[in-house]
Amino acid sequence: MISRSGTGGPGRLVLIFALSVLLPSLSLAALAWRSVEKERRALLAERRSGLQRAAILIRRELIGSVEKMRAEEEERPYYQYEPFFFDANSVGFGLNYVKSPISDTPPSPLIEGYFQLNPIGEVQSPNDPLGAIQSANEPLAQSSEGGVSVEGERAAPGDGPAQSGPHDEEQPEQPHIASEQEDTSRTPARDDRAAQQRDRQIVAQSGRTRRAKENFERNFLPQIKREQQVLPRNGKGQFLGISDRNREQRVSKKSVVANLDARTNAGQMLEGQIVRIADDDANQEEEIDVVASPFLLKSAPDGGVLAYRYVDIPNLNGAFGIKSPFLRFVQGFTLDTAYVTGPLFTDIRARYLDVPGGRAALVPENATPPSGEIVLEESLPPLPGYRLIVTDDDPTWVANRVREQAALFAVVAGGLLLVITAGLVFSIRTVRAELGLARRKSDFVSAVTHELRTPLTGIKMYADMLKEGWVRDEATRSEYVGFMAEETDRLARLVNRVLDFARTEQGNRPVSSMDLEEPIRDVERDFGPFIDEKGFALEVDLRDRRKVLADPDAVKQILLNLLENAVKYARDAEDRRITLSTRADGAHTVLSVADHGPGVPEGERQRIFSDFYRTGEELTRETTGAGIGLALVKRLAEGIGGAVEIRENQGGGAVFRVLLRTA
Amino acid sequence: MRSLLVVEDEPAVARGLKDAFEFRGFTVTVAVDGDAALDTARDGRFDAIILDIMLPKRSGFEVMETLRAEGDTTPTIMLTARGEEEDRVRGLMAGADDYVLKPFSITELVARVQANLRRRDMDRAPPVELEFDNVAVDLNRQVVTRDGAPEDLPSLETELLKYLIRHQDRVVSRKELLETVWEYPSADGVETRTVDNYVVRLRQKVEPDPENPRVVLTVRGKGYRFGWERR
Repeated sequence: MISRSGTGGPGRLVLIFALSVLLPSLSLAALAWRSVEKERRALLAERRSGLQRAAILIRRELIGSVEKMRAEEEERPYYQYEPFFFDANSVGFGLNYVKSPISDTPPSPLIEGYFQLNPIGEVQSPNDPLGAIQSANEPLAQSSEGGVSVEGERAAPGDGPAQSGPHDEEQPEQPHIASEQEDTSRTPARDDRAAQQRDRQIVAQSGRTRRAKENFERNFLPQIKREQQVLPRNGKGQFLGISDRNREQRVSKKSVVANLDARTNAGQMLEGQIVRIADDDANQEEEIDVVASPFLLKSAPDGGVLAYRYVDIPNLNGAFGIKSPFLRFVQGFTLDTAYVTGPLFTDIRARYLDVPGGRAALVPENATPPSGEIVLEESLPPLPGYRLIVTDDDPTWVANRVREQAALFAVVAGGLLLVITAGLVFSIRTVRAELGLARRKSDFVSAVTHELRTPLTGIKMYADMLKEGWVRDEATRSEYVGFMAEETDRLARLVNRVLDFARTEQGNRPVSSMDLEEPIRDVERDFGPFIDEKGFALEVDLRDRRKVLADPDAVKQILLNLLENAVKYARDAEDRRITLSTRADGAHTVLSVADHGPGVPEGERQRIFSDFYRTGEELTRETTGAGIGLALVKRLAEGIGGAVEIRENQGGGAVFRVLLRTA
Repeated sequence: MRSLLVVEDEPAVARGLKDAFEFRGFTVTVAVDGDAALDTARDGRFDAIILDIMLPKRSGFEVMETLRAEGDTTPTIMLTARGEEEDRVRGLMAGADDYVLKPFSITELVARVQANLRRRDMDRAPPVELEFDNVAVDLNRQVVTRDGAPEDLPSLETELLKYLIRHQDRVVSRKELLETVWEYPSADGVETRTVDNYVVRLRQKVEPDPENPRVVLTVRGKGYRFGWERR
């Protein structure tokens, strides 16, 4: 059996495999890992920056919206916040009540409801569906201490003068708060319109306004009252009402006369404007200065945001030209936080937050932050009490993407590895096959050389001995001549076989229907003596046969080679029988040559039909030959449409079966 | 008579070699595979070996390497049908003394064997003058001088001493001595006491102290060995 490896043994194969597959694989894995790690860092950075960018944009947009609304409100004249009234003591002028134009519908969805708190502690909410003025029946001091609920103290609509009540008695100089019923200057048509308007207002704003009012009363009123408490309250202060007609005129002529820096009593800086309003009415012409602070924002402990400002009217001319004391209002509105944190925020968030798994929320200060990994948390100046929190709700997003990419890399690398391995295996097999063939060819040349030289050596040697007279006697001389003849036959057989092999091309040969008996008998006749000489007995059994499609010369060559092979390899067998038989088997007729030699190992049964293949090591081979006999048998069998196979002979030995097509 | 081991698995070739060399006066032994070649070479005493390379069981290269590794210096001629340079080099490197390619001229082969034997004999030729302490031996003149007193050394004793010196690397059997020194065609059945008697005479002549031999040593049951070592 040939044991030499064409690639130098398993050690070198392992080395080649390591160099060709493992090293590239490890390099590939390292590159893939580096790439994946780089991708992971990039994805993480991109995700974080995306969330932070979205947070900045959301914050900016949100602040911008609120600031814009606040700026617009800054421009709103103070008197639009209040339902103007005349002091009850302002005799002779009637009690005009003018409803604020913004009392119907807040101009911004951010604004939930307006309010005004006058110096005497009365809360005026223009958005009150009833349009009434709320009276704080209790003194301000009590309000600040007890958190007075204004709800239950509100004057019923149409109560009119009854609103004064005990409060009026204790403080008769308090300005009387007028109601519509007291507005005697109104025409009936105008009353109807006002009533209709009021009804619509009730329907449209009842829920929202009530909520705003409740929020204001609950969260801010006590606080504002506390601040207002320190205002210079002048119970005798009078406020000169301005008629509807005149007001319109005055508005058209108002002018900013100076900027004013002032401070609230709480020390808060007020940057306001002095607005001079000229009354064109010849009879009522007068000027007042109004100082309005910017809106201040304040959050309530349990929610809600209040925007409020101070409005100061120093040197107010009272009735009959009497200067009234300094007058201060607190007016403003509550922010519709439900809207800000709801639809507005949702809209902004939808526009900027496009990172999958990212979440932005407006969360009250004392509320639990949302779950998830917090990426950014910031307060919002226009929304005191609220934080903008951006979270990463899917921290595994990057890991999942990286895992997907790693899986992709693994699949690609695996495929590549598979291809490399397959290519390598294919290459190695090809190289080994080529090396094997080259080696077999080399062995063939060597074997043929040996097979040719050996009989030639005998012939030449005996010829030399005869020529030199190195012969003891005549019997020996005859013996030498016999040796020379044998060696010559041997040489001739070898030459003929090599020539047959060289002439026999692979491919189909012309076939005809024939009986196997004739070529078998020819072989028996020609080769029988040689078999006998070698001490074998040839048994022929042709009883089970049919006509086959074959070439008689091919069949004879096949048999000669198989019989010579049997003689060669069964030379040491005890059972010296060689059986040549036929058997009809369906579409085939099997021509068998069986011997009782050592047989052929399972692993070599295919290879022994290869060109130039010989079992065993060349240098220690115990049989002669060039490795072409069985290859020739295979070529011939296939050339006539048949096949050859080898099986184990029962009782030991080998059976060569040639399958021929039955005619 | 020279002895020859022919290692050849081809019966016709082996037979021709055996006949040819025997005709030329050699004693020929044939081995047909590598294992038999090693066994025969180890057991027997051969003046030369003709060794085929392609042999069953063990190649000629392997046989050659093994013999040389074991210290066998018998002249060996490799005989083979493999004529590639690589094979010739390998054979010579394994220890072969010559390399003859098949088919060969039998007369040339015999001549090459004899040439190798001559070369070996010359290599092993003992020096002309020897000195064993107070004993000086002149092999050419066949004179032994002990303590300044010269004495003749007979031819047979001289040849016996020469043979032992020539094969001082091994034990030489009595049978071998009879066949080589005495040139008996076959020593089978010959009384080996003859050798012992001559060895006694030789010791009397050349040993500084014949009672305690140091030149010709007896190897019990096997034969004799030249054993002189200067102290």
